[in-house]
Amino acid sequence: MTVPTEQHRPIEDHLEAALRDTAMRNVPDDAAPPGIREAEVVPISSRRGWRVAAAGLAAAAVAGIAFGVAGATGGTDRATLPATGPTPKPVLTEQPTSVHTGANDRVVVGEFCDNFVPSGCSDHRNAPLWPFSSYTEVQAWRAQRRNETRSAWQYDARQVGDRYLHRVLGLRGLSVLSYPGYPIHGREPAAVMAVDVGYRENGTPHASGDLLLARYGEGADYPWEVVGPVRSRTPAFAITAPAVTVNAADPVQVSGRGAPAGATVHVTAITATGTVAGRDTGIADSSGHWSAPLDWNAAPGIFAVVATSGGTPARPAHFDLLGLRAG
Amino acid sequence: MADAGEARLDGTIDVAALYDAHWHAMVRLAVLLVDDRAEAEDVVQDAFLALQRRTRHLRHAAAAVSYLRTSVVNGARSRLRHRLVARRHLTQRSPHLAELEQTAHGADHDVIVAAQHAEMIAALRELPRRQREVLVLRYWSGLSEAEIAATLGVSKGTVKSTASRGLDALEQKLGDLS
Repeated sequence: MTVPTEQHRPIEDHLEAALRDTAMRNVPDDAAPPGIREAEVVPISSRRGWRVAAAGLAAAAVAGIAFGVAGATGGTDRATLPATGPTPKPVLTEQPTSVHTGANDRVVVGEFCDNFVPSGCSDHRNAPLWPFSSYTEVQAWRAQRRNETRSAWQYDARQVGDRYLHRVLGLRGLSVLSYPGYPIHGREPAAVMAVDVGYRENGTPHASGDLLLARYGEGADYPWEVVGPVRSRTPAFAITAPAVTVNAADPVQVSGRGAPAGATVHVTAITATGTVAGRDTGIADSSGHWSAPLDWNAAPGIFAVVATSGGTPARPAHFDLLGLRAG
Repeated sequence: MADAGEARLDGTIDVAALYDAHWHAMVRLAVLLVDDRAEAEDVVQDAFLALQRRTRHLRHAAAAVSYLRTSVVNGARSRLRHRLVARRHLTQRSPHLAELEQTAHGADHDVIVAAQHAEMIAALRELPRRQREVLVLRYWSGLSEAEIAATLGVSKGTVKSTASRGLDALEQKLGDLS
């Protein structure tokens, strides 16, 4: 990153904060791009399709930018020109079972998460953490939005990640750093997204941890869900125990690795509504391992165990999380 | 990873995906350069329209994002150049700010922070255009020297010196106000 002078200057922090505040205040996360209309079950490739053809550029230039709404919405207030995007895929209506992260990776959400640990699941570290607690809830939300015309932040993985960090975990100094685009596997109906989260210091990005987001359903018309950290990576700072389980013990011994020797590790149980259900601390030994007995008190359902170290409470240098279920 | 999401199987750029992924960021960048949300949206619309015309010339999504960013900066520059009535920016420190800083607690702190940010943005607006662009690209967009240089069409050395001078000027302005 650019280093205007050899030494950090306080004005850099001030400037960065002012720019961020101004930008976010003027263009909040829930600001919808103009001209976009959400149809209930139209695949995203046509629902959000870019509809500009060469012959229409002059008209589009006058009208602003040209977006179209396909199918059920029956038109648009902007010029709608022949589609140039890929052919829309049919909408799948079956209960979701799985989505793919890559050739050798597999994340299971949807029906799996409702049952939490069904047979055949290859990765027990992922759980529907937020904003939905079950596939049933997702379906109800979609039904409720049937006549909505406004885009929803739940369709934007970055916004889902940022809101989870800020509003649920209370880590307001962290945000999604890397954003691979939308979505990572082109326009496949199923998609997952691994994002680095962290902060910028003197303009330099610092990743504190990561999040794995997955569409809660099989198709681009399903919203994003935070399902845990990216388990295909091996971060230095990580929770190593317990494993995701149907009924978490109370208290539960939370252990991990990768903290600086002697560092305090804060372990917090947080429900999906952002309520702190328990907290404790551990001290890292000379090899960086740490452990803390977490006494929690959460209503039945899934809650997150978050471990942080270094930095400040709102902007930790390291963090990891784990989904547990209170039986 | 960005390329995978914003390029079609045939290798062309998927502008709709780029729009979904980058509209907010581009409008925020434009807002910081032109100070007006509506104008910022217009700048971004123009940038995407220009991108649509050039997709066949861009080989990957990263190049498209760079092209968009440059278009936004150029568009903002054009807007500012043609703005008939110059804005009169806040240059005086709020007379109540110093007092608030001495007595603030709780919610008052947020008010003070907001006022300090407003002062910073007002000072930023008074900088020469190039300095403002460099600082916004550096501290909002988080670009490297090389990326800023490519966006603005200048050398890395110019970026570095311009950023340094811009920070000096901001310190001077804010220092004068306190």
